[in-house]
Amino acid sequence: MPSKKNNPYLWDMISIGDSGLDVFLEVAEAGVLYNASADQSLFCLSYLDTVPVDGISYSVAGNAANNAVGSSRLKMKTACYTELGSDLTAEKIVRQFEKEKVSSKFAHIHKGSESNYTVVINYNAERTQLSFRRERDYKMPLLEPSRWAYLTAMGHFPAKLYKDLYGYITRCRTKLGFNPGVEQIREGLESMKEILTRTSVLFLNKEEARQLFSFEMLREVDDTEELKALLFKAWDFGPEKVVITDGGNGAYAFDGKKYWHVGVLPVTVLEKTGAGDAFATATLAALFHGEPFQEALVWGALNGASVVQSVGPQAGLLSLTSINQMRKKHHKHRAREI
Amino acid sequence: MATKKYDFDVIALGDATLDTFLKLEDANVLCSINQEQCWLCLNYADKIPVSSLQHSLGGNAANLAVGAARLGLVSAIYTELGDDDTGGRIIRQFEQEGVDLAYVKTLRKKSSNYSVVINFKSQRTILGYHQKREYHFPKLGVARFIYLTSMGEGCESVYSELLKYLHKNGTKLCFAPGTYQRRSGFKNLEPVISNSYLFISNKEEACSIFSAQGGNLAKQTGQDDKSFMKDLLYRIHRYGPEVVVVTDGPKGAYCYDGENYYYAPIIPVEVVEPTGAGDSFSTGLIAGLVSGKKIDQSLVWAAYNSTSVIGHVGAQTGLLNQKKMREFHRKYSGYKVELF
Repeated sequence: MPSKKNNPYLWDMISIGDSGLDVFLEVAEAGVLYNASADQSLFCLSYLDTVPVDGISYSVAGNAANNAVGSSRLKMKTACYTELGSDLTAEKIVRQFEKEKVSSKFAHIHKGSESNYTVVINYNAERTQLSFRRERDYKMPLLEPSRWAYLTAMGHFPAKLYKDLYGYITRCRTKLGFNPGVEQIREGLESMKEILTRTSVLFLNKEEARQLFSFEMLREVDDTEELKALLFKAWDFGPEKVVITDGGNGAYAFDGKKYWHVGVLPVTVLEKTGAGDAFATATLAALFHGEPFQEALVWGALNGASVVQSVGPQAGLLSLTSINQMRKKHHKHRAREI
Repeated sequence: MATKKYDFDVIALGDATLDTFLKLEDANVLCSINQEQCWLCLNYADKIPVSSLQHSLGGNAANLAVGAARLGLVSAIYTELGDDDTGGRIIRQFEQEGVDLAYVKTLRKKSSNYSVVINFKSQRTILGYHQKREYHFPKLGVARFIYLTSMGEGCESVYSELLKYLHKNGTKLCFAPGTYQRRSGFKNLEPVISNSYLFISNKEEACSIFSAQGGNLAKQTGQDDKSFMKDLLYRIHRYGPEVVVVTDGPKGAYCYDGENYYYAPIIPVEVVEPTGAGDSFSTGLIAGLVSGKKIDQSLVWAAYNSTSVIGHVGAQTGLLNQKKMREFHRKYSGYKVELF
């Protein structure tokens, strides 16, 4: 851990982005129809009926909240800048932050509006999500200096925020972990070019990376080769390090010198929400605690494996003690150069 | 309002639930060719945007407890919740409405009842979670009225304790059976019905409960509504309740107290959403009785309350408070409950 002496930093991590509440419903009485001509699957519920729900659970969610809670558990002094409504969902999020020792001093409450709320219908281990999101204008608050910041999904992404954040991380020499959400990726590469040059670690999944860099290989190549090409292309835009996750195939990374691959741990998957956030969170925490990048990727894999073994994105987030224990148990798990 | 002799004006017994109303724009309805079965279909394993969201407290007992509190009654509820997000939201609503929480039981590591109501093109498809419960009749303070209503499987276990409580305290029982209770068989219900002060239900439900007891409850050809209702009310009254009320949707409500037959017509207003019409009717009626009004005057309050509720979305939005009740009284001063 960096020395506490003359520490100009008030925070180790500030997470920036959406938070909300997820309710998970286990449903058995449903069906999936496949439309072959459109290559599309439809999740079908008996219309105008009451469909029984067999199990229910709740979790505070949202990529920024997941990162904040996960970072705090991994002994980083964490705050979260998120935009909330003024309802019970918001109260619940703030209470959860308190419990997890995440400061909500930068959280912003919008009077008279609802917070994000998602109904996750789990059927055959796949999730269909009904997602309520308010469009909010994130306006960079006056943030105190932090060693790390984590920028992630927001419903709507104002260009001004990139600019202000750029100024902040330059001024405070803050390291930035960047995991863009669907909306940011949809807005395209052009809008994030500047912030990418100041990004320490960029996290994407394979589909996002392909979409963001409009990437198509010119010839048939195997997965590893495609991922290497993707990693290089992303790295070329400025981030120091790039991590691309590929579901069950694990994660691939490039640090400007070496390409790495880390596999997933052999665990039983119960519910997948939050695996990506868990990975990114532990990777950054490892770097914060002074671990080399190669080891940081293993921390990511451990945290991801833990989260998919319970329902919801936060229940399985590891503490520093438990990640060390798990590391001992899986001491042979390594990130390998490819 | 409760005087020294009573701790509460009314205690509601029954399930409380939270309903989350979601509006979707992006869905399909597919049907079998004969239209016998239709499905609401969503993109599988995808994220579907919700255009509006609203949480609301529900369950017949909750509606009554909240409505009674708004009308200034000292009101409590016996209900069982889980120690989860939904349970917390339900408790918060009760607090805000001034419903006493002394008999709200929060069970550890259990879930609360919860429904997601998916609204697509104004049609509703519901995902409902119902936790199986072991009900235990709690040690209740002394109440003027107990309102027994919709509970799930296992609720029979509270009946015998409830009857003892009624005798001991001279409490009047109002019984508005819910779906499960209606289906649990007349034998289970009979002791409760015969010890009720007030029995209230809608026409279809009343017929389904009492038709099992022999005797033709179908309307005879040529028989008009009112004479049919008289028959029905009289028959139910013979099982023991002092006052019987049967509601008949847009046709109004009918009542028999052993002496007179009363008819409470509806007040013609635009129906926005009918959920909660019955509960609010009971609430107005009980509030009237607690205030010492006669049956016919109490039925007027009942009609006002349900008129207000059906003019709003949800079962609780339109529940009247005392001030609004007075406004209704002025606005509809010509409204009368008739003898028939």
